[in-house]
Amino acid sequence: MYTQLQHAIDEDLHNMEATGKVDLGIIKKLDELRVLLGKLENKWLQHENTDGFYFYQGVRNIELMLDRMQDRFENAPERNDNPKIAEDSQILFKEVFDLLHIAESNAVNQETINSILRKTRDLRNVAEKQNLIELPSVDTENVDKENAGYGLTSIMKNLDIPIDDDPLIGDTEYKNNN
Amino acid sequence: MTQSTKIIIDTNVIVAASILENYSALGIQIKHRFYEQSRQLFSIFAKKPHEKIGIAVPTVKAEAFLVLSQAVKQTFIEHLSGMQSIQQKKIFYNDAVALINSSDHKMRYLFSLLVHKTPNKRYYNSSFNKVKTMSIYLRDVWNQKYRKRYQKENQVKERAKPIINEPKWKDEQKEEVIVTHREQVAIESRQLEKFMRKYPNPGDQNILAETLTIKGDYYHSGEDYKFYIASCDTGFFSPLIWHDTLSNIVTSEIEDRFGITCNLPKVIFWDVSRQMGLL
Repeated sequence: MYTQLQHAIDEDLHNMEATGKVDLGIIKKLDELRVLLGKLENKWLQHENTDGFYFYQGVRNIELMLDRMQDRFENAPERNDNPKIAEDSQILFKEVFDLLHIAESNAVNQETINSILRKTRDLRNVAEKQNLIELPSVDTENVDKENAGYGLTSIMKNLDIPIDDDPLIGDTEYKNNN
Repeated sequence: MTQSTKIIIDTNVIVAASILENYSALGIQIKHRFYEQSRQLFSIFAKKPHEKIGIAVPTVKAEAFLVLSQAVKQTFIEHLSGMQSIQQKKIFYNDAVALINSSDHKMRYLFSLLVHKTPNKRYYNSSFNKVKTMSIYLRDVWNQKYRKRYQKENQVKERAKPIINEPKWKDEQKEEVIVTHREQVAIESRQLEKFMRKYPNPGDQNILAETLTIKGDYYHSGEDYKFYIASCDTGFFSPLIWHDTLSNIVTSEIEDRFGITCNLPKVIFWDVSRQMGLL
């Protein structure tokens, strides 16, 4: 599904590195990739099982990284980010397409869940190194202010590492504080 | 002279210390219930960076993001009703991703306060076998003592024996002692139940084996440290507290066998702060 686009992006990035000049034609290709990501996100949103969330999470992270990448491409001349952004993107895209390969599959089981979670973690590690991870402020801005209220409220007291429903360690302290 | 200290951070502590979000526009704060005490422990590492007290072992580094994602998903997404439209679901999913990523940014900062140690591969297998032996001992010896009701009752009788046969004690006093022992046996039995539910718990076994190997690595290079593992879940590394009663069967076994003290972040914070004169 992505092979053609992957080659086109790869070629563009190679050319930018070779010429030392940013070609904003890549933005169009990033947009094409966004369309494909949107389709994948929809597929996982429609999945009957909530485990589909882990696959959505991986794809959503790519989307956030593309925003950061686009910003760096568009502002490369002013920020002297050229051809560094092309090099950084090339390194990141290898991880991106590896993750998409897993997210495309239809198998949802413990193995594929672990695999997508590990890939998302690795992708974020690479994105951090290449300065392509989303800025922390983006995460706070991304929370939907009007609609998320009741969802967030409901998890305030539940946000713990899930174990089981029994009263456990620290519960005494928890009750004293609440 | 006081022995210098190293503290291994269990996955749940770094996750707990990273979950705090203030959504002022919504008037909502999301905070992990172990956030305060976990952060408090990290404050020592921030205050004394050159002493390299806090340590991240490979298993914790590898599983932290996974545990964080699963925790948010299980508490956030699984409570969604099946009636949500795709659009509403998208909002929830994006919020959950934003929360995970925001916590991940904090976790990255917290990891930067820790020393990242890789255990010597040559000794790791031997450490792992020692940990496995301990787990089997807990399963086969300790766990067997509490399986049946009559076994629990025998434990209570055994513990109360010195008092029961003491003529100076009144009957009400003896009864009180029996009740206390019964509560204690109940919580110990509960801890072993939890231990068995997670058994063999490869994650915790790895963390303990890595800690043991790192402790040995330091020792072989002439540095002898007092080792702690800070934890706040019901795996190997924290005592079980329930209705103000404490059970430390597993943590005592670790301390006796390997000389590693396992406890809650706040207990280790006070212990280490006192030793270092930070209070």
